[in-house]
Amino acid sequence: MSVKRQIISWICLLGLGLLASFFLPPYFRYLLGLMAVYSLASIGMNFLTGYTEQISLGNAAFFGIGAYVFAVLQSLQINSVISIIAGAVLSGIIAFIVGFLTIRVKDIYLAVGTLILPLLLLQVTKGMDITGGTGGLSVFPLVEQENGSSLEVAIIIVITSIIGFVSSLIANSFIGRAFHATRLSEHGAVARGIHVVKYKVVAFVLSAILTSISGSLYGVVVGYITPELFQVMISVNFLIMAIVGGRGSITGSLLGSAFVVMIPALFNVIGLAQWQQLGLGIGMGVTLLLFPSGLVGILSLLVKRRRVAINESKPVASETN
Amino acid sequence: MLQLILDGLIYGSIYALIGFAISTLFMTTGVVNFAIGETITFSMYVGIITMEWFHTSYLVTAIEIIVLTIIFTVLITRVLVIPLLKHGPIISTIGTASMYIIFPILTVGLSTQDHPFPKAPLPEMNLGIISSWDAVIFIFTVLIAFLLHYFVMKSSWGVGIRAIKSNQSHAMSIGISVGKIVMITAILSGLIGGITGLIAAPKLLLTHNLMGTPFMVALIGAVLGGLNNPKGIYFGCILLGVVQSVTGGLFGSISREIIPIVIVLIVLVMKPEGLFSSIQEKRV
Amino acid sequence: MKANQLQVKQIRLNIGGVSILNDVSFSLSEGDRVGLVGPNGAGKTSVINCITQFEKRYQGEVTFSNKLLNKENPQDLPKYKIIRTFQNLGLFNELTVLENFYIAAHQSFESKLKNVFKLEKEVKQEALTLLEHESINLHDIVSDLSYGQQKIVEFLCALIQRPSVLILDEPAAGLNDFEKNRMIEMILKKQQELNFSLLVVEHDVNFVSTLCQNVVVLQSGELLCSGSPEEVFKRKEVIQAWIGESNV
Ligand SMILES: Nc1ncnc2c1ncn2[C@@H]1O[C@H](COP(=O)(O)OP(=O)(O)O)[C@@H](O)[C@H]1O
Ligand SMILES: [Mg+2]
Repeated sequence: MSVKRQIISWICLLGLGLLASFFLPPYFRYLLGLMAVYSLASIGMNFLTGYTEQISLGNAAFFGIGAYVFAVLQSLQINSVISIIAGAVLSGIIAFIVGFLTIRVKDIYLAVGTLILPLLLLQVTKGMDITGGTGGLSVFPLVEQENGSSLEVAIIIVITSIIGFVSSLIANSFIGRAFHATRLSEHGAVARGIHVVKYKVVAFVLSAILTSISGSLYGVVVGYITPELFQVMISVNFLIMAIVGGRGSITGSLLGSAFVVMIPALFNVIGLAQWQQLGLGIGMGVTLLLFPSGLVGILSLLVKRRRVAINESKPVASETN
Repeated sequence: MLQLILDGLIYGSIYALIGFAISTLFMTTGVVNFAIGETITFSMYVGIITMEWFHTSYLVTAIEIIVLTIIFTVLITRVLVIPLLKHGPIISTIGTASMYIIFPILTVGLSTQDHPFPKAPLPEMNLGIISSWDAVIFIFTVLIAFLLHYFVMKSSWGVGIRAIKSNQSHAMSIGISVGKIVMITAILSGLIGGITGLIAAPKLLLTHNLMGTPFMVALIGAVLGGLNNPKGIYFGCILLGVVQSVTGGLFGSISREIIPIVIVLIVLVMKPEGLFSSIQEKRV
Repeated sequence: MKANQLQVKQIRLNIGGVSILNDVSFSLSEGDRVGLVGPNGAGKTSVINCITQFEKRYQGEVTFSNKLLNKENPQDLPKYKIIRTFQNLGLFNELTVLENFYIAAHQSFESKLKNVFKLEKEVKQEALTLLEHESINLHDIVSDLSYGQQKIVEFLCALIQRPSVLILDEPAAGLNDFEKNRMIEMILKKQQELNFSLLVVEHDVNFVSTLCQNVVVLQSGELLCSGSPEEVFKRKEVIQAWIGESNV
């Protein structure tokens, strides 16, 4: 996608989001904030699983780190922006180490290897006083208003849009293309001078940073955080967003985040709250069976573009003789 | 100390059983059926409810549970795993995650309570250091490990399984019916899953979270040993069980969670495909 | 006499106790067009893999302008402007032709971080020029192209990498006669324009004879002989080596 088109789409998205944040009723405004926040984690997961095919069950760790670092620093009266950045930097460093250590680990082995990180942090946060133990911490709004007020959500939308736009620039630059290349043909990528290890680690770090920012803002939207943020299910949710939304696509990541937030919410609204997970499960199963390339596949059918993300069929990697 | 090790062996055995259920389908598809644990829990709930309402005998209930897990596993394989497999094992694995989300809701729909689950009506024996049910768990697991090892390594179906594992298109071209073999492993996975439920529930109490943590630990243990061979899974899970139990007993519950995790991380960094599997260099 | 650019000295390759290459030596000078020929399984691709460091288990020396390459990583060879293609294609099937060109220019993007947008325009322009006489659209998905077109795209992508040594692994395999002739024309034309030296692995005797000034014949991992195509393809041992082969 050309830069001009990206700018236009993101400005439209931002405008719509701002408009909605001021006119929607509180519950939907809350959902909007949640969607915006999750979309960063979704993009982050997509850089890993969709772009470079490194399946991770560990992203909940970075989500939690972002949330906890933000909450703790906030309680120490430190500026919000610095707190967000601090969490992102910490996550990035940890991801660099983990990504580098696990570079030879693949597929389900990588998933399990990364799963270890949130399990570890789950115990640590439960055990420490500064993190509030099992009870967790409260998070206060960014501005002098209540959590979930119009202004609050609007600010969140602005922040996430800016970061989303930057991610989209990266995804459409030589970095994103190198990610695709390492996935689609490793020897092909190497022959083009692409340092496969380097880009896999870059994807890991990028993913962690985005997820961490998402976690910081999540605390702001929801108002409190608990060690539950380190649960496996959180990582699985991110995976669902990236894959049901559309592997290897920023648009898909946004759709995935909307899907995971809106389907359960829909059940809530029509009074079937206890069945919301059922809706989510069936929804994702059906989506994947009908559109293996994700929700973005529906979009490409509608718009009839030649290609949005990854083609449906994934050929078995051929190797040189 | 001995008690801690024995405890670890028993928990490790339960993990190993779940590991076997995961690995059988994994061997032919490369897909981890995330729903297997929840499938077991649901079947167990159906079993206990028929037992309470219709007073079915243990044997009938046990058969019902095993048949149910087999049917669910086969259905999941048929409807989700195989159709999605052509888009890669990752998509297929995420596909099974949809059932991982759905089954717990269905279980809650059946019953919101915890139920004690009866042991098989076997003669009680006084074994001194361990209860006779623990002995059943241990012996059954060893038995299944041997049978599975024999099945995969020695039987003619096992040859098919390993052939598919190493090269799917080639296996097809020499006349191995991939679909059939995958279904066989699905049935096997369900069978082992059902047995796991029957063995584990009396010890752990039948709750909605019967398989929640055990599934994750089993997955980690199986990966630790190498998901592709029964021997590796057995020792990986037993090792994890014992380490958990001993560290937990000696240093408190947080280390119970943390130390095994650290071990796994170290192993994966050193041997990315598990302790007991040989790494194959990729041909360039 | 021009200076030797690429030199392969006494390469041996044993894998699993089987000798795949045994004492293979040859060299390539600036502007040369050398054909590496031999029956299937002779070890031609293995030679390329050793030169480009995709295969690391060999003994012997690979030097480029007197610099030893043995310790380099395969992804660093494009820095030396030693560029290769693959027998089974090293393209990114699910991406567009243009994206494949961008990826081929990856190293320029990495080194010119400030001007990425300008560079993108330049690469696109260059890709357009390269595809001038082809019925290939920049926005076609590679897997939608015919096999012959894919081979051409891979060759052109290699050119974007500004080779000083270009190594082609079976560029004509799977092409029909018409496509083969087009390929020869195109390689010759581009070689004249861009002035790289060429190492071509090929099966087809006619293809090699038309394209190359020199051929090196490999059989069962050993160097059989070398010389000009006219001379070499007349030799008895070469003909014999070929007879076991059905698809000459
Ligand atoms: N990585 C490898 N492992 C084992 N055997 C290999 C490997 N690479 C090549 N070979 C063997 O080396 C021989 C030469 O192969 P190759 O170089 O592909 O031949 P050619 O390109 O001339 O057809 C073949 O017998 C092949 O089976
Ligand atoms: Mg070859």
